[in-house]
Order: sequence, then structure tokens, then C-alpha cells
Amino acid sequence: MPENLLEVNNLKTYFFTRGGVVKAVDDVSFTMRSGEALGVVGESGCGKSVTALSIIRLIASPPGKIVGGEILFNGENILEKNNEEMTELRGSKISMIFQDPMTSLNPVFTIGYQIAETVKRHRKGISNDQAWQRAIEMLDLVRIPDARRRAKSYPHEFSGGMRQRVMIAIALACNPQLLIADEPTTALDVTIQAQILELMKGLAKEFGTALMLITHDLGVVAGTCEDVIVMYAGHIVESAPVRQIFQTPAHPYTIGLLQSIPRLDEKRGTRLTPIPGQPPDLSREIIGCPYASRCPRVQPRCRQERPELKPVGRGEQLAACFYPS
Amino acid sequence: MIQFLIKRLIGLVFVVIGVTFITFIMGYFAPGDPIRTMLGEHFSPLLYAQLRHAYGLDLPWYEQYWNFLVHLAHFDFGYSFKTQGRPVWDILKDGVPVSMELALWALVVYLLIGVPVGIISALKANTWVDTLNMGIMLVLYAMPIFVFCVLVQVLIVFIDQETGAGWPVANWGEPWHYTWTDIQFKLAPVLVFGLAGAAYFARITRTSMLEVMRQDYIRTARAKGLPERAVIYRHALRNALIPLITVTGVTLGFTITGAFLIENIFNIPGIGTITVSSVLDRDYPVIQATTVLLAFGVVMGNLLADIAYTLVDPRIKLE
Repeated sequence: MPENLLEVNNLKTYFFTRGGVVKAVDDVSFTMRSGEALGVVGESGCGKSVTALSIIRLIASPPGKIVGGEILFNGENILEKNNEEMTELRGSKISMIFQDPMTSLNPVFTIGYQIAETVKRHRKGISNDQAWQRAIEMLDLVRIPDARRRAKSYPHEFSGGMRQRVMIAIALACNPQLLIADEPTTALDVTIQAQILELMKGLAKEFGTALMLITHDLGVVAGTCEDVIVMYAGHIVESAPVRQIFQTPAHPYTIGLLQSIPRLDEKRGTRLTPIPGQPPDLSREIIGCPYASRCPRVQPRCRQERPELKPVGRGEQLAACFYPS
Repeated sequence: MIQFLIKRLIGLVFVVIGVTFITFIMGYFAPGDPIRTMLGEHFSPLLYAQLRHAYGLDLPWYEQYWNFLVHLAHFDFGYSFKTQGRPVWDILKDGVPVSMELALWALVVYLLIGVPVGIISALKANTWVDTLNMGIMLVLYAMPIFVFCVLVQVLIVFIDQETGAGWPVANWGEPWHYTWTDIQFKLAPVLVFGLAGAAYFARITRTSMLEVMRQDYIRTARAKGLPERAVIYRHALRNALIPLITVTGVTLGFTITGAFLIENIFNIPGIGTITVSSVLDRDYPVIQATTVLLAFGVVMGNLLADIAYTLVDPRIKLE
């Protein structure tokens, strides 16, 4: 048994558009142990969703294409698997939950059917009845009240939070080893957010499932994950255990992100501290550090050379910066 | 459901009143005199007056229209001007089954050719397959139907001359009978009518399918590990067919009573042919009756579509 559940090495996913090649994910490497909860953080367009979709091989192609690197899952390279092997893997060993629960369920099938369908797909020789029972069991687990009756409901009869619970039920129905949640709470209101995160974290632990939580909200990561990856412009700029990210952030971008979070203990009327500027255009060649144009601590070297992801001298904390704090 | 049907039937009454009123007024004010057309060049003024009275044409227009509605309520379309004394229904009753037969087979062609072509095009969107499909469909759709009919007839004549096959270029055969001779009569008009409509269905299916394939729930279906054919034929198609139901419903009504050109060119004794000849003859009672049939067909088609919706889309309830 390999040590790591997931090992992403030098992943490159590019989009070939009329405006040029967009390097959405460029040379990204990281690992996940089984049962680990990893947070992937970054602003829109930083490549976090594309990384996730690359792992489950659902990049829309064309225009997207994984042009380099390897993704080892249980030691096997996912990128070498054919389509049939991938469909075996999806939904059984690797599952994914998406951002918008309102549109992620098929409107013309019952909730129960959509869960049972996954079970039926991946458990050989299971009867329709057994699959349906499993669906009810899963609805119970995600705390849908009166699961037996609600299994016969259609998605439009459920609220957003309940639909996301159903998505979690579908994702976990086959006891996957890895659950990728792409902004699972972004479309939900704050009170529901906390419930869904709690539920997801609890069930992932119960099922022994590793959780990759993609979000732009560092607050979500703080309460849920053990490790954090910060992405910027298709690169990983910092990677560290969650406590270190909050206590001793090393990369100026991470520091900027943390400063831009509104705080409850601030004086009223204090202005937010945004990061000035825009992320770079990924269809252009970026020379030097991609964050250089927005970095408050930029030095001449940053504009010429790209910094590698390196230890900063505090245990497992890594940062791609020449002058980490 | 029952309540919904009752509402729709009440709606139908108003549609029929509206439609017949417009056709009545247009006929009334249109130049020309049906009795003179009926009598020809030489007639006695007395006979003329008698006939005018017999058909109620000497009454003011509102009384004429009222009489028409009263008769209609008893399912009585009155008497034809042209074939004197023959009830209108007697003229129509032979045409209805013929037109329904033509329409239903054409609908089968729409669905059996149009829908699969649309699906294939959507799945192969923007490849040469799609371009070729949509190119052919665009030609079929854009070509005026009378040109298409005549082209097919010319083709049949050519084949007959070359091979001595003796394939018929016109006429219909026995309605709802399918001996080899009947099939020979019916095949060409059904295909012409069907292909023209199939082109429209193909375009709608393609658009609808492309739209659905972009939806989040299709990505979910893939993320569940479903094989591509389950994603397409189970998850996508069911959603993509919903807009097609509306189109089918609306088309159905028009197809049954609106095949004017095809029926005329192929000399098919259906409602379309009857409508056209009654217009030429200023046979107002017959025009009125075919208009009522058309309105009835369209309303019924829509009603069927609404009922079919509830079977396919759980979000829609009839209330």
C-alpha cells in the first residue's frame, strides 16, 4: 500500500482557446494521506477547480487538456487510465460535490433514484431494492428527516441546503476514499453553510474518506481542514498545516488573503484591506513570480525569476517566495 | 386534472368563436358573390333571390353569424354552396381520415428522423457530421414545400421512365389501408411532408440537447461514474425532450388540417384540398367548417402537449 492516497506531481492543465493557451494549472504538486482533510484556497480563476476536475478527469475537452504531470491515486497514475476505468473510479473511489446544489441534481428523477443509481452502478449484483434501501440509509445519514418518504421526492421539492445534503449522500454512497468538494457551501446561506461543513467533515471521518475542500473562504478551511494549499495564478504559492497558515503565514499573498478577511473584533468603521490589482492574465507568458505585480514586498529578483515551492524553515510549511516572512 | 380539462374546453369555445368570427367577417366583406358563382353566367333573378334566401344570405351579417354559431353548437356546419344541398359535414367526413393519416405518418417521420439527427448533431457539435446534418436539414427546411413536392414528382416520373416501375406520382389510395398499392401512393407525400418537418425537429432537438449537456446535473451524472450512454440517453435526453413536446403539440394541429400545398400537389383528397377548393369556390360554409377543424386541432394538440408535460417533467402540475 503506497504511503499517500493521492500524489499530484507537476500537473499541468491548459485550455486551448482562441485568445491563446490559458495555463489554468501550471506545475502543481501536492500529496494527500488517506483520511486527511486538505483545504485548497485561492481567489476565482486561480486554478483550484481545474485541479479538482483534473483529478477526477472531468475537464471539458476541448478546450481543456491535461498536458503534463501525473496524478497517482493509490499508486496508480489516473492519467493513464482509459475512459471505462475512469467511470469505474468516479463515484466509487473518488467522488465530487459541486458548488451549486440548485442545478446539480437532475430535475426529472427522484432523489432516491439519483442516489440508488450510483450504488447500482458501482456495486455489482446489487438489486434495485437493495440500492433503494441504501439510498434511504444515506438520506438518513445526511439527516434528511423522514428519509423513506422523501426519497420519492424530486429535487425541486428540496431547499438548497437539503439538495447539498443529497449531493453528499450521492458522493458518499459507495464509501469513496477521496471526496472532492468544490466550493460546496458558497451558494448556501451562512447558517446552512456551517451545518453542511460539519456534516461533511463528520461523515468523511466516519467513512474514513479523505476530503479535499476547495474554497475561497479561509474561514471555512480553519474549522474543517488539517492542511492547506494556497493557489495563485495556476501555481501553489504556499502549503502548510492549517494552524501555521493562520499563525505564521509565509507568502505575501497568503498574508494579503488573511488581512482581507473582515473580523468581528475590529473597531466599527474599519475599512477592509483588499489586495490591490488583479491576478495576471494566464494566457500570457508570466516571467518571474506571478504575484510580483501585486506584492507589497516585491524586489527586482521577483520580476525575473520564478520562486520554487521550498521549506521556509518551520517544519512542513512551504512557500514559493524568495523573501518569505 | 378534471378541472384543468374543463377550463381548456371552455377556452376552446372562445377560440372557435374568435377564429370563426374573423373568417366569417373576411368572407362577408370579400368581393364576389357565392350565388352568382354557383349559378354561372346565365340565371333568372327570381332563382337568384330564392337561393339567396334559402342560404340565409339576405339576412344582416350578425344574424348570419349568429345562425352559424347556433348550428355549430349542434355540430351542424350547414350546407355547401357549391354542391347544392350537400351537407358540409358530408364533404368533410371523407377528408378528415385522409388528412389525419397523412399527418400521423408525417409526425412519425418528424420524430424518427428529426430527433435522432438532432441528437447526433448535438453530440458531435461543430464537427463535419454536425455541419453535414444541419446543412441537409437547412436545405429541407428552407426549400418551399411546393418545390420539394414537384422535385420528388419529377424524380418519380424519371425513375418510372427509366425502369418502367409505374410508381404513382399522385393520389392517395384507401385511407388506413396498407396494401402494396396503398403504400406506393402514400410513401412519397408522407416522406416529403415528414422530411420538411423533420428538419425543424432536428434543429430544435440539437439546440435543446446542447443546452442540456451544459447543465450541472450532467456533470454530476458523469462524476457519479455513469457511462456516457447513460449520461446521454438517461439524464440528458429526458430533459432535452421537454421543449420538443410543446413543438409536437403545436405542430400536430397544423399538420392535420394544414397540409394545403402537399394535398393539392399530390392530389390527396384531404382537408387541405377541400379548404383550398372551397376558398376558390367561395363556399363559405365549408371554409368556416375547415377553420373550426383547424382551431380544434391546434387547441387539442396543445392540450395533449400540456398533458404530456406532466408525464415527463415532475415540476409541472396541471392546475
